[in-house]
Amino acid sequence: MNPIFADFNSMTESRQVRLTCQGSQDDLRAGGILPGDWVWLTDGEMEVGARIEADNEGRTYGVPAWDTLVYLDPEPELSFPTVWSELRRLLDLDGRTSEDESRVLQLLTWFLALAPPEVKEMIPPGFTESRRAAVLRALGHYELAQQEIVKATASDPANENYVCRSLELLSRTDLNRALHEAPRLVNDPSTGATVLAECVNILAIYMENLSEQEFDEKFNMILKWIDRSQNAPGIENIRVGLLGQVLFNRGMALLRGNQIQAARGYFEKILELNPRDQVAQQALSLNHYDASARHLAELYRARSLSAA
Amino acid sequence: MSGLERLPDEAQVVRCGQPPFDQPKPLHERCDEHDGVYGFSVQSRGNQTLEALAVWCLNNRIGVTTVGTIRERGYEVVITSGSGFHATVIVPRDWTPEAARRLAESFEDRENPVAKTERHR
Repeated sequence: MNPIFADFNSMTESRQVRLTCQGSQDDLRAGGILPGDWVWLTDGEMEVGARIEADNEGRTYGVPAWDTLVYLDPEPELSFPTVWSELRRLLDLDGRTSEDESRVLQLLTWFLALAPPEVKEMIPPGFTESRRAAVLRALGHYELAQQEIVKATASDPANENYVCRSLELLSRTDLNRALHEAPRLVNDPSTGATVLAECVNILAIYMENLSEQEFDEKFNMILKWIDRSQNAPGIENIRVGLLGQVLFNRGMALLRGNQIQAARGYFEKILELNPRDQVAQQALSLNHYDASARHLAELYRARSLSAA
Repeated sequence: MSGLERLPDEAQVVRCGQPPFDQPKPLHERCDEHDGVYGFSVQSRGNQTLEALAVWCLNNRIGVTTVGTIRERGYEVVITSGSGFHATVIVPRDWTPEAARRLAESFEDRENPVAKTERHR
């Protein structure tokens, strides 16, 4: 989706951007943008993610997520090595703050603007888009993140990490669509373990809200999907965290199916992979599927995939 | 336009962004109706410093002129609702790209004197 022109001079008292000038309206129409959609607004000098809204009289506004604001032109004193050095330091940093994430978004923009041609040639397809997606996800802007990861996937459709993250983001923005997509991938024999792990997670999230009878009907299905993911191509290279998630989902499904000892076996397997996994540690003491179990499941499934 | 407050000739006018404000869209496509008048948005008030006006601009570059200069070119500036010291430079609805370019030339291209972190979001 192309950015929408915005005149940042024309803002309401509550700092919403009026999108009623001809330049904005032309872009909104061309992009088929409707209220509720997330877009990038730009005046050619800056860019910011925003949700589109309309008032009672049909006037269109953008409600900016200001933590996504970036300046398109690099500051004059900046050079490519300076930007790359700061970007690398931040990307390697554990526990980035939201300010760090916003800075990464800015640096990625300047990185692309300043990178010499020989460096640009070496950037893996979808690299910057996937990094932008990770930042936007970390900032809680899932719709914008989804748009970026879709671009990354289009650049490198065979990249399982991109497909996996795309599914994960889709499950946050539109669980029904994610549920529609997951069976297609599960039924495709070429789908790898990483993507299947996310399919399992999506089904597990969906099953969380099912009644006991509905859960029983889907119980064998999730076990089948888990078996499929554990025997899929690429299982030997799957990240430990993602494998842990598959095992955790299996454990939780078994727990809810009252197979408590079997469930504990899978939580123990997670601890063999990662003895410091505190959620798996707590899950070991569960005797039935109650509010505590649901809470732990929520914690586990919400873990960041930004490093995927 | 009756009821809208007129600004003194000496009042500074700041428009966020780099003059002549024609990328990626020309100035005449950035016009809109504000409180019943048609034109483009600026920041302006009598007795306000450049910094007080520019703090409402997120852009690194700003265009600066005065109300008097705009009037000399046959246009009017009035206070309208919006963030900060929002005002509107009134232009005809059929304003031509050439006329827009000529008016944009009256804005001086300057660096935003307000540090990025101090600008209002």
